[in-house]
Amino acid sequence: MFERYTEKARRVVFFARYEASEFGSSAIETEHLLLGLLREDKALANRFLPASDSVQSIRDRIRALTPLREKISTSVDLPLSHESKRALAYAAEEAERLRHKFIGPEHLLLGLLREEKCLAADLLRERGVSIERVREELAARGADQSDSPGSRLQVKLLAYLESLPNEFSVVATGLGLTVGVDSLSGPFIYIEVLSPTLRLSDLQRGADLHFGMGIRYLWLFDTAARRVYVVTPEAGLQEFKGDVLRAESPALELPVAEVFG
Amino acid sequence: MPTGTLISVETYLATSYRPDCDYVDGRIEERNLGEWDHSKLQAAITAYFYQRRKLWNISVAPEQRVQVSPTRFRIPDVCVVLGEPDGQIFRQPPFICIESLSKDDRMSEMQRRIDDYLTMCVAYVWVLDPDGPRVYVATPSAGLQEFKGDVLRTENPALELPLSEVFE
Repeated sequence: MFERYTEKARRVVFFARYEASEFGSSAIETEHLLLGLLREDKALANRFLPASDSVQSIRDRIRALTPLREKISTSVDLPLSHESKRALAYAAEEAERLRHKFIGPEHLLLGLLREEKCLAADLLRERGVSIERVREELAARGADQSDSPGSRLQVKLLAYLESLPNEFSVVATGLGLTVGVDSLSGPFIYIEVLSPTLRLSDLQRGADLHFGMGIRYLWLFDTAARRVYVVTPEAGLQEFKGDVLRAESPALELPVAEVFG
Repeated sequence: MPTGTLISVETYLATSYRPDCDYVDGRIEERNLGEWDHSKLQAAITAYFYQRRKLWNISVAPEQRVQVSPTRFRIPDVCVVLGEPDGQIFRQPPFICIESLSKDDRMSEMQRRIDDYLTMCVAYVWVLDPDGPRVYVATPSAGLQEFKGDVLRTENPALELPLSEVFE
């Protein structure tokens, strides 16, 4: 269900689940998704909500509108409510509608607004957030973003990975993608477009961080200089001079021409 | 980092910058230096080769202007030439160019600098990062590669730089 979710969108759901347990709810309701959204994507919240509206004020309003219950342990599995499920389905439709490959927090916001009779939509409307305004802004911003090197790389890679016989779990990040065997096991490859301002020391620190998370291959593309670097825990950083990048266990090949072509 | 407007090669050569800057196709590019980790490493490398200059018949120079192309001058942190240099500004390729990384050195800029050395046919390009520490070597055939050994070596002539001598 969450394969096309960006890291941020996944964290929204994670935080929503936490909020639901804090409220003692037996299901993840739309208001919990809204709180997760505001917590995870502060830039989005600042863009659409009045400056005076803090997450805490929205949480207080939810507390006032919902019955007081005892907290539930976070180890208890909480299902999505029917309204939340519909909101997530709408979010996927909104991503399609905007021709976005991935589902991010902004699509979740649209999904909540489309589920008109839910508490989250009420809270958003009370604060002057309309579906039309969010759609317009996202469509305008999407036109800018689709032209960035990171975006172009994501689109090309996703098309390539979808064409492979084996299915991989692909998650979009700021400048690239992580690739995993499935959505349950962690990613094993991280692919990124190198920013021209990236410091070599930061690249190494980032690599160490990724290795700590279980990633075994970093494939870094300098699209301006048309260079490729591979970083692995064993060999460190190596410029790649071949035609096809290869990962093992599971096997995955990526012809460099798929990115630079 | 490029600064200012375009200037001529003649103006660059007639100007003293403090600290000295690279000259790249008419632009003055500042270099990242001045911090202890960078300076200490640069001093250690220079001292190591200077102490062996007679034994190996080499000259070693910190922050020496090297003309890498008709319109480019680079200033390696340390460069090693075989025998005596060809002038006040080096126009023949040094045998080794060594860069000591500063925390603000950007990947793209370091790669351009390395490319200039390799294009000039510098035999060995070494990049040492005191943060880590880490070492990279660059060759025309393999490009930039992280070096995982203990001793950097050259051939013809055989020189060596044990990393324990420069990383404390």
